[in-house]
This record gives sequence, structure tokens and C-alpha cells, in this order.
Amino acid sequence: MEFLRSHLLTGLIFSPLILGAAMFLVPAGKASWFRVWGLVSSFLVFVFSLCIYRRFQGESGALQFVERAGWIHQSGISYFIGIDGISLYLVLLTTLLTPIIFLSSWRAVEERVRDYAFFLLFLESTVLGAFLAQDLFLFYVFWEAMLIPMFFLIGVWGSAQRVYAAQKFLLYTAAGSVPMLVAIIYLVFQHKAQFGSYSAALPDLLRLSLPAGGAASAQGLVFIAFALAFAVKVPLFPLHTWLPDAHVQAPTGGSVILAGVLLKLGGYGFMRFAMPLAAAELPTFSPWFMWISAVAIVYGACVALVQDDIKKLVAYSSVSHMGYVILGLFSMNEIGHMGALYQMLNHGVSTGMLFLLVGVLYERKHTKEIRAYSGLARTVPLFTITMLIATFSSIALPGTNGFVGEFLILQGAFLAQPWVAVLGGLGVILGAVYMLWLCQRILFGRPDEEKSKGLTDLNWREAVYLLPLVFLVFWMGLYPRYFFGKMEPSLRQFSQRISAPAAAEVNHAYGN
Amino acid sequence: MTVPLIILAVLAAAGGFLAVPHFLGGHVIPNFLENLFAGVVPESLGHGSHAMEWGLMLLSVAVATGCLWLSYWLYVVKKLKDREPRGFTAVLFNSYYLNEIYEAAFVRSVHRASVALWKYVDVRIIDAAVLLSARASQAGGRLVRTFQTGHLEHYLLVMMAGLLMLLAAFVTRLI
Repeated sequence: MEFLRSHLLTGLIFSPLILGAAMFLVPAGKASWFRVWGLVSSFLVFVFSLCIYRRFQGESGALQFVERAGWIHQSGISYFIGIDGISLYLVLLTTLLTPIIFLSSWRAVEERVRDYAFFLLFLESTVLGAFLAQDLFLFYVFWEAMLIPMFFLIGVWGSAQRVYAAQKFLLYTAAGSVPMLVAIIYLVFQHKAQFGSYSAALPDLLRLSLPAGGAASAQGLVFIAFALAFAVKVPLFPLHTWLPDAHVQAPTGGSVILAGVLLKLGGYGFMRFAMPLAAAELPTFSPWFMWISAVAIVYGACVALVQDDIKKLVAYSSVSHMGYVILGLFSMNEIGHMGALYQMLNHGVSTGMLFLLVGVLYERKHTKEIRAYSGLARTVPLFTITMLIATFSSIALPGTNGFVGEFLILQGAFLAQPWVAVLGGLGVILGAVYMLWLCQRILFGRPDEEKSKGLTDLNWREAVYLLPLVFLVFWMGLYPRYFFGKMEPSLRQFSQRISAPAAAEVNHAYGN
Repeated sequence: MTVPLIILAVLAAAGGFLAVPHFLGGHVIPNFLENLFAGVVPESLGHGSHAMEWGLMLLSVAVATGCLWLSYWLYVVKKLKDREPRGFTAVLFNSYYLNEIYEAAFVRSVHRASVALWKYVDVRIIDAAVLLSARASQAGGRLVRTFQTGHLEHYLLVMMAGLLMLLAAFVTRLI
């Protein structure tokens, strides 16, 4: 017990994996056992994360619950994990979404339930590890490990072209990550050259002084290498084409975890690794990234507009929304950073809700075509209300969480590059267009006899797992200060670090 | 549609009393609009004369009464509502054709641009580039596969050729 108390984060990272692996000790009997086991395990992990949340001290911007142990001494790789204001809510988002996914997959997944539950828990473990890792190599291990369960989740329980989509996702993401490995190895060797010993720990590597001066300099190339990996994950236009396929072909639960959590890892990677390590080179890159993200916003929204498949529409809306996150991050001011982190959380909630609702429809009618639904407001009013709440959150209606994030981002972007913010503003309009048009087509209009056959309203189970998200939409939208309270110190440190990259400051900030 | 209009009409009539001019007895909310602009509009701009106030009041009442009479004449006397709207009436009837203007200027062009973005940029350019890399590696594999004949003689031949090249490189002091 004492071991657990002093190793809270390790417990958090590995408990889903251990609980999941425990399922294989039991012979593959009734599927319902494993459903329950998966739900109970993920719920326990959620409660565990809440305990960590309670003990987190929001006034400090430094890493908390740090655990450091040697791993591969010869290469300076250590098992170094910690949590701060930036990763805190992302971890909570992960642990909240996983039990929700288990609830939503209750009837949707009937075959090989044990494997499904295991992969989901395994995925949760690797994602938590990636959020908490402070050693670059450890982070890379979790980053790549994440792809394996996701590949199986899409490839086994997905739709018609699931194998193509799973392969595309895996190869695309892995190919983008390889330059990051090269950069990590380079940094480890640089540490040896400058300080005499190998080290892959982030605070040590932040002390490195690398030549800057253009995109081809050492810092520039390191940044590009990291940025490639994270840009594929975000996904940032034009490296986004794996997303529509992966989302459409994945099962509902897979889409929710993919959109709700995995995409955030791209943004988190930028915040935690890419930007601090190449801080001096950021002025070169930030205008480029701001323009690319503005293009991504408008492009994603435009293409979402003309889709006939609901899931593909929501997938392209993800491209658009994550464009906002990158826009906020590269605005290089604290407002933009606050907005970007908040928008990451918002997107998890709102897009998670949208995919869950699509899953509800799919479970009943086995089609995701917009043409197949009409007039749902008359036949399934509870569903309609939830869908509209998710829509409002997605289009950033004031009062919902989306507004807080998008407003901060646009404000930050305007301070940096006004015309980019104008383009982003256009994205807000287009966002409203495609979401509201979708709602008009499927919810309003005349309910059709043929189309409404078999459509029942939300049952208790579905209401239970959608309710926390609805609650969050309004809590985060009406009282964001509660959430910013614990995020601000770390965010401020982040903003200062990337605008004034000095070794002494970095040393001080990490409490070394 | 009539009920909302009635409500609006009542509010419009009542709202005017929020700023009754000075010489008619004062305001329900004193200096209503003046307070709003207190710090912005300089005092030196002066006040309008009583004549102007009378003039404006009479003008707006005249316009309103004129429209009342016009609508009575058009819709009750001439029974316009039973006929097809023509000319300017048609413009008003179709709400200044705003919906049609929007449709033509914005909606259709955005829609067409979006379809182009999807079908050309996304599918034919970006995705094609990704699939190109896949096909390139497959083609490369097919090429290299031709060397794996399975016949030992061919492998030995290649080995001999390689050895000869190495020897030649040694002899000519290249290595």
C-alpha cells in the first residue's frame, strides 16, 4: 500500500493494463462477464485519477507526483514520469471517456468481447503513459505502443474497409514518428557532447544549447522532426487524410477514443516537447503554422459541408477543430495557449458526444448516411436535445465550453497575426453552417414513416453515459475559471519558457 | 405570424415613450440617450431647435399614417392580396429576394468549392500522394523480387561478380 501511495502515477498508468490482462486468466466464457469487468476496471481507474486530482496542488506550476528510476543507464534513459497542470485534465479526460466507451459498446460489440475490452484498457494505459512521461525515450515507447491496440480496434471491430483504414492509420502515424526518434537520439547524443553524460530526461535536454538560426539549423531540424510526428497525430492539414478513413471505419468506441484522446496527444506533444525544445526557433515557424492551421480550419469545415456520411462529417469537423488548437498554440501568447489547452478538452467532450450519438443511431438503423434520417425531432426528442447540445458545443455557442476555447484562441491569434484570425473567424461561420445543416437535415423536417422504423429514443444506459458529457459542456462553458485555476501556473510557465528561452530560466522553472 | 407582430407593435408603440422630448413634459428615463453618449459627444455640438423636434415628430407620424392608409387602400379597397404580386410588391413579398441572393452569391459557390476541395485536393492530390508511396514500395519490391530466382547457380554467379568487382577495386587501389 505504501508502495502505491508513493507511486501513484505508475499505478495509474499500469492499472488498466493489469486489470485488462487479468481477463485472460479466466477462460473465454460469457461475453457479459468481460463487459462488466471492463466497465468496472475503467471506472476504478477513473476514481483513482480523481484521487490524484484531489491531491494535485493547483498553485504550483512544477511537476507533481514525480517518479524517477533508472532504466537503461548506458543510454541515459530513465523511467521518469510526472504530472502538471497541462497533463492533469487530459489524463482526466482519458479516464472519463474509457468507462463511457465501455457503456456505449455494451450491445454494439458482440464478438470477441474479451479482446475488445483488453485492447481498450491497453490503449488507456499507453495513452496515460504518453501523457505522463517526462523522459523522451519513455514517451516514444508509449507513443508507438498506442498504435497497436488502436490498429486492432479499428481492424477487427470496424466496418467494411476496416483493414485498409487500420493499416493506413498505423503506417501513416508510424512513418511520421520515425523522424521524431531520430531527433530524440540526436538530442541524447548532444547531451553527452555538452554535459558529458547521456540523458533523455526532458529537464536535462531543455538545458541544451543548440544552434538556432533558420529552419535548417539544429533547433529548426529538431523542431521539424518532432512537428512531423505530432502534425500527423493532430491531424494538421495536409497530413490529415488518415483521419476520415480511420474514423468512419472504426467502431463507435474506437472513434470516441481516437477523436477524444489520441488527437490531443498531438497538441500535447507540441506543448510538452516540440515547442520547449526548439523555443529559439519558434519565431521562424509560428507564422507558417498559424497559416497552415487557419487553412486547416477552413478546409476541414468546407469538406465537412459536402459529406453524405455523418461520421465522415464529424471526422472532418475534427480536422477543423484541431486546427483551432494549433492556431492557439502558435500564437505565442498566453491567451492563445490557454485557449488551445481548453479547446483540446472541449473537443474531447463535444466530438466524443457526437460520435457516441452517431453510434446510437447506427445501433438502431445500421446506416450512417444522412439521407437515411429525417425528422428525428418528432420521433426521438431526447436524442434530439442531446444532439443539439453537442452541436452547440461544437459550433462554440456562448454558454458552452466550445465558446471559451475558441474565443481565447481567436483573441490570441488576432494579437499575433490579425489576418489569420480573420480566416479563423470564417471557420466559425462555416462550422455553424455544416453542423446546423446536418441537424436540419436529420432532426428537423418531416418525419418519414420508412426512415423512422426501428428508431427508439435513448434508453437508460445511453442517457447515463451521455449525461456526464452534457454536464461538462455547461460546466466548462459557464464556469471555466474552475478549470483554469489548476491549469494556469503550468501554462504560464510554458508561455514564458517558449518566449524567453534561457537555460537559467529553464533550470529554475523545473525546480532543479 | 400575426401574434408576434401584434406583440412587436405594442412594444414599439410603448418604447417611444422612453424618450418623450423635453417640451412635451419630460422623459420617463431622463436624459436617456444623452447619458449614453455623455463622455463621447462634446457639449459644443449644441441642441436641436424645437422646430426640428416638431418637424421630425410630424414627419414620422406622417410616414406611419401614410403607410397605414396605403396598406388599407391596397389590401382592403383594391384587394391586392387576392392577386399575384407584381413589380415592387413582388420584391417585398419575396423579402427583397435576399434568400435567393445569398443562395447564388455564397451558398452555391461555397458548396461547389467544398466539393472541389474534397474530390480533388483531398482524394486526388493528398491521398494519392500517400497511396503513391505505398505503390512505389510495392513496385520496388516487385523489381527486386526478380533477383530471387531460387536457382543456386544464379546466386553463385552474382557472388562471383561481386567478388571480382571487389578484387578489381583493391587492385586499382580504389579501396
